[in-house]
Amino acid sequence: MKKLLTISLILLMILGGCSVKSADEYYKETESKGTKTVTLTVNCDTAVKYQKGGERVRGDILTDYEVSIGEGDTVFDALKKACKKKQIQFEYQGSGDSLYIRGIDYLYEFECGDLSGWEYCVNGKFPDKGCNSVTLSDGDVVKWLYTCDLGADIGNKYKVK
Amino acid sequence: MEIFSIKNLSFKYNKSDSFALRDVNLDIKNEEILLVIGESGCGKTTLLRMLKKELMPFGEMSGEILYNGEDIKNISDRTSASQIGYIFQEPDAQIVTDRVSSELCFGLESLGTDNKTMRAAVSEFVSYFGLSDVFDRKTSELSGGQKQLLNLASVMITRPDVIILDEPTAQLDPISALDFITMLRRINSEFGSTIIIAEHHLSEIYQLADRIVFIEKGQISAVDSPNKIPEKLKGKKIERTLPAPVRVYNAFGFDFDCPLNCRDGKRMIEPYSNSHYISVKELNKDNKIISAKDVWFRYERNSPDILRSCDLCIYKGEFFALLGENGSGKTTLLSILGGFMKPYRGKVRNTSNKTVYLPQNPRALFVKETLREDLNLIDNSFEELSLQFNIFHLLDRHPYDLSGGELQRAALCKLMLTNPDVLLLDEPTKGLDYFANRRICRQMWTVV
Amino acid sequence: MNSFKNLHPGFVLCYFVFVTFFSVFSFNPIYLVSSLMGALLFALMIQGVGAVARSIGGYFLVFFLIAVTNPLFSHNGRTALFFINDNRVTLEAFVYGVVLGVAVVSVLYWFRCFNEIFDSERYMYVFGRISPGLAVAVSMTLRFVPELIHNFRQVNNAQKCLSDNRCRLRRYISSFSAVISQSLENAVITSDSMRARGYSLRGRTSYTRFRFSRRDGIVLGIFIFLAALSVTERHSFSYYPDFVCSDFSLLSAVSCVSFGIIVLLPFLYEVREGLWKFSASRI
Repeated sequence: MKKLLTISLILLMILGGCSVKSADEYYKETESKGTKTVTLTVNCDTAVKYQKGGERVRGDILTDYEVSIGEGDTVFDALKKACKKKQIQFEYQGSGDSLYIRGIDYLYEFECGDLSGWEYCVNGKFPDKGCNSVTLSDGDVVKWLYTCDLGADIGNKYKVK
Repeated sequence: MEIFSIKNLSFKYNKSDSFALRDVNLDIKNEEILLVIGESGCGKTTLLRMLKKELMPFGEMSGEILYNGEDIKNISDRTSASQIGYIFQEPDAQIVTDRVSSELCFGLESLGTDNKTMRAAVSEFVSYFGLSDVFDRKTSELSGGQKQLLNLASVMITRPDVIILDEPTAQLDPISALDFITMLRRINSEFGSTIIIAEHHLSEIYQLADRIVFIEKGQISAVDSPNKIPEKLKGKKIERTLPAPVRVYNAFGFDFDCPLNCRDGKRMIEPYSNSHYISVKELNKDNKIISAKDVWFRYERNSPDILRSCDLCIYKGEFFALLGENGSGKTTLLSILGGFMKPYRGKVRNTSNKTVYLPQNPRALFVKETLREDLNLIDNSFEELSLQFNIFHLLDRHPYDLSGGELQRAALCKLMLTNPDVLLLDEPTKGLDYFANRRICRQMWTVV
Repeated sequence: MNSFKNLHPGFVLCYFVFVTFFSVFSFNPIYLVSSLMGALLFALMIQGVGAVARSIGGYFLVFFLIAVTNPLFSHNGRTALFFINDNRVTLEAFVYGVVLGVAVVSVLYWFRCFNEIFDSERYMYVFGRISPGLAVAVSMTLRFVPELIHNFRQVNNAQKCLSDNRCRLRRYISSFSAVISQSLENAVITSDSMRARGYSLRGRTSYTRFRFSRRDGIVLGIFIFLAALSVTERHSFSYYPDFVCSDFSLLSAVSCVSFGIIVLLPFLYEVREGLWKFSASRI
């Protein structure tokens, strides 16, 4: 009994710092309009090619979608806002600088081999940082691309430093 | 035919100045029972160990030992392991594994015997040694006697030609010792195994031996059959350890053959018994010091009763002996009289100021590096008492380096330092040779 | 009610390994539920209703925790129930948690039964098959540790009645060091005894009382047949992003049924042996 109490207490404490909303509430929330606009693309053509004949027939999850963001918003914030608007599922782990996107639109890392996962580029360049530590400026072009080969198939060949 | 022949064997331990064995010449015949006697430290163990290649002590050796005509150092490990069996004094320490079944097979496993043969051998020897009831048990659950029988069985299972036994019954109670000796006799007569045995307690083994070797200070001073050797031992200290009928014979010198057992002894003294009496002193039964009334005890809620309705009364100044088989509850009763355990029913009244307890294993009393430190823990006026107990010269030794008798005396001394009214001794003479035994007994009389 | 125990330990080990692995890796609710039922039935058989009933509370807690925590950490799945911050809590993740919970609980029950059945003698058999030397080492350890504890108690008691005013920790320490040196001394004799019985010889074997009998052969045959059937056409199930269940075919139905029989093997064997006991009871 004591154990049960402690466990539920811990659960309460964890949940206490969270806001719980139903799915409808979450998606219908309107965000305040930001000052800047960036263009977002989410694409997984590589995965479609990799899983030939699989369920996924189209790789273009989002193409040139314009998101309005606020001051100091990061690549992650832009993705979050876009996904919320378009009701796209995504999952991340961690927080702050070490935040990491595990999957977008039910497509997760490692689903297309050991070297697969999501990478992003801003204006054609792949930053070597976590997506929550790169702040965007007005007019930036952000692409989230799924790789099956540690970046080599999307123009970001992995280099050993 | 000789199975062993020892020629001019001398041996000196590495760190010692004196010879442990000197000029030993001995032929051991096939299928005989050879009894080796002698005081503690006379070289019995050294001699026995020289006969087993794996156990040979390190040191300077001269002369030779032939096993079936071959130098013992040259026989193969396999032969030595399977044909020469060795049994030690300590029933517990020589057991290797946790289960009776695996312990029994240890030797066969070493020799690489296949499972089918092992199973056959196991079923044969388990019933031969009467171990079928304990076959599934853990070795730690056996009594001392059963343990030693198990050790004998696990040596016999490889069908050795010779079995060497180093005081195998020293740690056993008299009944288990008798069982063990009886088993040895059966093995000798049914398997024809040669048996070489060193012993202190001679009453049972003496009459079974074919020949007896008496070792004195590393030298063989007499070898003869049991009924001839008593005369050669006349006047020596060892004479006092011989079985009672032999001692009587030696003391009075009757004009017929030396009796080896009580039957013959009784026949010998019958004509004299009418004219001689033994008188017994009456005890003063005024001061009760410990009394137990209707005491019941068990160790765990669902275990059987160890003591059932036990009544006992001990008087001041009394010398009270508890007799009984192993496992009959002697130790339990002592612990209850000492107040270390509580009976679940009945009453124990102890009117003494201080009751002390000497456990079966007296080592349990010592925790320091030297005896001196240990005794100092109790009282610093220990030197006088240590003289009285004849351990003064041992004070700077480590308690575990003492021999059985020395340790027992040291333990008694430590207990006496606490000025007890009642001394509870749990088998204080176990594992001691006759002389150490007598010493403890004398010491106890002086205490009383 | 423990006839399964009398089967050859090699077979018993194979059986448990197969059943637990299958339970863990199938992630198929049909297999898992039948595995849980089989394990529960087995536990009831060998431990009785009382012991199993008492254990259920604890196992349920484990199950509950897994079922609840999985959706909090895994946000995959198409059906969002609600959002916590920006993370969706999905029905699929919850169902997956339930399945995982059933898998863990059924494995725990299988282990429970395994522990009951596989005693030290059976372990020794397995060790002996791996290496006879290992078997001896394990056996010596099994003997040494309880012996050490026993000796420690003895020494400690003797010390207790000698002097009661000293601090307990110091008494423990001195008793412990005394016991250790005592054990070292005994170890000398033990090693002598081992050498005297040829421990150093090459080609050691390991004794076992277990014989592979005809009965073991029959049960093993049935087991292998069923196991082969149950792995041929696995009926697969996936949970993310939606539940997908492969179509039933005759073969997948057969493998489901044969796995069902496998988990019931201990029970069926018990029934079979019960017939013998019945015939023995009429003597």
